[in-house]
Amino acid sequence: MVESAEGVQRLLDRIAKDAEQESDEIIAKAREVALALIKKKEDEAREKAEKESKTILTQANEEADRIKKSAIAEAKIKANWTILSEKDSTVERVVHEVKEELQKFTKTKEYRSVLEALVLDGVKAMGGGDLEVLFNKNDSKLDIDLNAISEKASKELGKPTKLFASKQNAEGIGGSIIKTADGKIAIDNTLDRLIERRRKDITLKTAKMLFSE
Amino acid sequence: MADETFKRILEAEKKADEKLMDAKRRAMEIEREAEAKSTQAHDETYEKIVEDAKRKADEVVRKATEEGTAEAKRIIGESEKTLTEIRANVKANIRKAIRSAVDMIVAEV
Repeated sequence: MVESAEGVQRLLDRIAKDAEQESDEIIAKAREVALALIKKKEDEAREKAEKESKTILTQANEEADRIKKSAIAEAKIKANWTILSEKDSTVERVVHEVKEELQKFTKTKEYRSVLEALVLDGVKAMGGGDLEVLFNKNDSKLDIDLNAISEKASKELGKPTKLFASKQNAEGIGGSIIKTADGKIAIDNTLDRLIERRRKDITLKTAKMLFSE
Repeated sequence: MADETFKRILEAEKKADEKLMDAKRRAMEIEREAEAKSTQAHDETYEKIVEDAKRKADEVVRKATEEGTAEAKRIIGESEKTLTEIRANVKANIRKAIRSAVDMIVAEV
């Protein structure tokens, strides 16, 4: 009877113990699954975030490169522009002062022969014939001998040439404009025009003298 | 007596079943909690790594801006030095350049 009661008790204990053990296993398994799930999600997040981070950093590096290059390019442009602008204004100053010097030159004795040469040069370029000569107001007062120049031109060109002073005046610091009688063709041999024609040479020479390293 | 024993055994099995049911409920609860926790862990991990990358990216851009500005400043400084040299050279030689240009014009005639 006692043995039987003990046997029953052992059976009851066994049922309880098995249930306890199975319960523990179920919960342990659930915890294991839970931890694995959390780890899996963390791993997924890490992988996704690392991919995203790589993109972010690549874009940042590209942007950084752009920012740096842009700042440098802008500075170079500004620096070059400043230097070119300075050089340009210096050349303009030289041209302006060349005009002033030539203006002074028109007041010298030597200028007369230069003016005559400019007229003759223009006449020859026109190929002679009946031509009108324009001077500025100051040069008109020099009484350039147009007949003498006509003769010289006729001789040099082998063609009768007749020059006559225009009633109109040329603009500028000096020199002359030669026109055909009908005014359709003209050669501008004013000093202003000569300067403009030689502007490129003046610029090159000025640059060589003033800006060469 | 056999009935009593049988009753006790049934009782014990019932308790055992209840315990197992409790364990299963608890397991389901743990898994549900894990689901929520895993989403949170996912988001936190993702945020942490991405935020870190964003901080690094900002630093890269900030550094580049700083370096670009410094380099630009150096270039402008160099150009100002060049400008000073040009002005000194112009001051010393401009009369010569003007004379030379005038001579070139007059010589052409």
